[in-house]
Amino acid sequence: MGPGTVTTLPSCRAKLARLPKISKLPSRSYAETNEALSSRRAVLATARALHARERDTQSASHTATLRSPPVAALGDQTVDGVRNICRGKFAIHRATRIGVIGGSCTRYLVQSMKERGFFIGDEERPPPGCSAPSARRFGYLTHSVRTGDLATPRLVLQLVREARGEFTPTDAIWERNGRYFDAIRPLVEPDGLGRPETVTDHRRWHLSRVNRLLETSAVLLFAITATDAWEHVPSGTVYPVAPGEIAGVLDPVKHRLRSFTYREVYDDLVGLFALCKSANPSVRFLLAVSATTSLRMAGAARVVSEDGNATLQAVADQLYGERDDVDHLPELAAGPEPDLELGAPLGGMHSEQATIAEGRVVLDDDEELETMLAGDEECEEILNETFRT
Amino acid sequence: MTRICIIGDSSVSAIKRGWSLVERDYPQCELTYFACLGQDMATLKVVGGRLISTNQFCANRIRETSNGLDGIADEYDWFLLVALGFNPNFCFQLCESHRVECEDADERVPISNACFESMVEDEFRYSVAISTVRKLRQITLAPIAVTPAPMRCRNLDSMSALREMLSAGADRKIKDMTDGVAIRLADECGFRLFLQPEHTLSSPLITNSIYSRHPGKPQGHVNAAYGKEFWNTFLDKWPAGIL
Repeated sequence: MGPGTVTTLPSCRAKLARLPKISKLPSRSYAETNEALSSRRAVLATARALHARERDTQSASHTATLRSPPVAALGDQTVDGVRNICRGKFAIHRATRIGVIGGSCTRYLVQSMKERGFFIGDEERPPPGCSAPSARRFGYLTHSVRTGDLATPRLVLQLVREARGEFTPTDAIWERNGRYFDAIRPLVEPDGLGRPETVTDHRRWHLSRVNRLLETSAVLLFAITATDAWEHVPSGTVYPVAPGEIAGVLDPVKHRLRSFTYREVYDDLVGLFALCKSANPSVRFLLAVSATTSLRMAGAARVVSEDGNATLQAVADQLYGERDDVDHLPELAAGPEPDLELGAPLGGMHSEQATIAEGRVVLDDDEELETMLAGDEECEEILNETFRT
Repeated sequence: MTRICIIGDSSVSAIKRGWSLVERDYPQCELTYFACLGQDMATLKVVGGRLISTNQFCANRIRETSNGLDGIADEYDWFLLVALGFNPNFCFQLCESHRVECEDADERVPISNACFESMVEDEFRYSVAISTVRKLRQITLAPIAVTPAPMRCRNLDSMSALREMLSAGADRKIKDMTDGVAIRLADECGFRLFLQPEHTLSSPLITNSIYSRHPGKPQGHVNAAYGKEFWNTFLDKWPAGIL
């Protein structure tokens, strides 16, 4: 590549940034376009090779860093100096496909991990062209499947049982003002759907994607943040929000906010792991536990429930100690910036995933160029014919 | 004399060629064109009360298509924006892989009508046409109209799955939703919307092949006959007395 040869991914990115974008060329002769295209492709090819080599050789265990670790653990070190507080039990490579399901912190976790180049499975992608804000409003991009927030182990277990054909939820469709909602993930369609049959149809599709996630993920990351859930007592069906909050009707006789005990949380997670193993025997698990206080609406009254963070931590610790296939991440802080860093920052350039930019889902650079050039050529011809004759 | 400023991408071609077929019926109208590729037109900036492009390629195109003008000034009675990314054709491609609520279950991915409408709104809202409307509003109070890119002409024989979808009536529902979003956006952004004349469509999402620029070859661009229908349909709808 002559002077200015690039040998690292950051220098590739810097070089690409300096090269003219096709759409920004001051003039648009085909000679200039081809030259610019060749230059960009040469850098992209180098970057791709570097990326592949780095991915192949990257086998370090994941490590985690707390931005605000316990004071006792800090000793005399500054926060910036504290790294590698805990070491992962099993390796996560760049190509390791990670499925992520969990509570509200999951969206930040997913975003953070994507930014660091981890391969986060996404079985329910937003439709092509959907902007990131719209996609998130409809429950895309925040978890590996469009589950909405499932904060409690029992909710995740119920989802997996349903996907594996072992459970059918009761009172699974809620109505509000003639619109119908999936009671197990009511927030993924903020305005509901037009018919109950459509809710069933969409749920059937969703469950097929959950199954695919279970079958294809090398690691499943469950971000559990609560020990309580609203329950339909006669059937044991649990819901992520109170009946009546978004849709449906709260019946004090049938519904209750149930707090799960240490033993129940433990059993739910063990059952969850077993079911996941039945779909994919080699899958391993990461548990992320978040310290948040859950707030559940119940009609006009608010019921505030401590989410039993100590319980979740204790269960996670026990499972970590008991099983080789379970690791757990240190406590996540609540808020938009997860205080978590997995491995070394890997940067972008992840070939398996489209880059999600704020605002628009953007294409791979090569594809962007190809698409733009193909369409432009015909349009240029038409403009020439129209205005030069 | 009514001076009409037409700003657009290659879809302007049919509008210009169609005008040549009807202009003798509207001798009081004088048209000025500013045409360039859509993404290049995005480089227009408000400078000194005019829209100009600092991109040399776009500036050259503007000069070439407008007979020598180097910018768009507030000297027209109407502004008409043609396509510039205000393009509903993506709906058709989307339906190859996704289905909206009114369609029967099949192997395509189901999406809600609300999600579909949100996507359409994204597509339109972030188009070069809408950003150009906003720029024009900084330099003029004259009425602004936007007409979307015409639907593509298509050969349905090669698209049996889509033919089934279309026969199920989903195309009408999709068209209605798409038009509804465009109308809401027009109200919000303060422009007048000129939808594709219904009689130029063979079905809600497909332009009649007689308007194809290359008959028998399914593609996006339409011909002078389409431009003529466009003018005949819409010149009558503009405010009484202006023409």
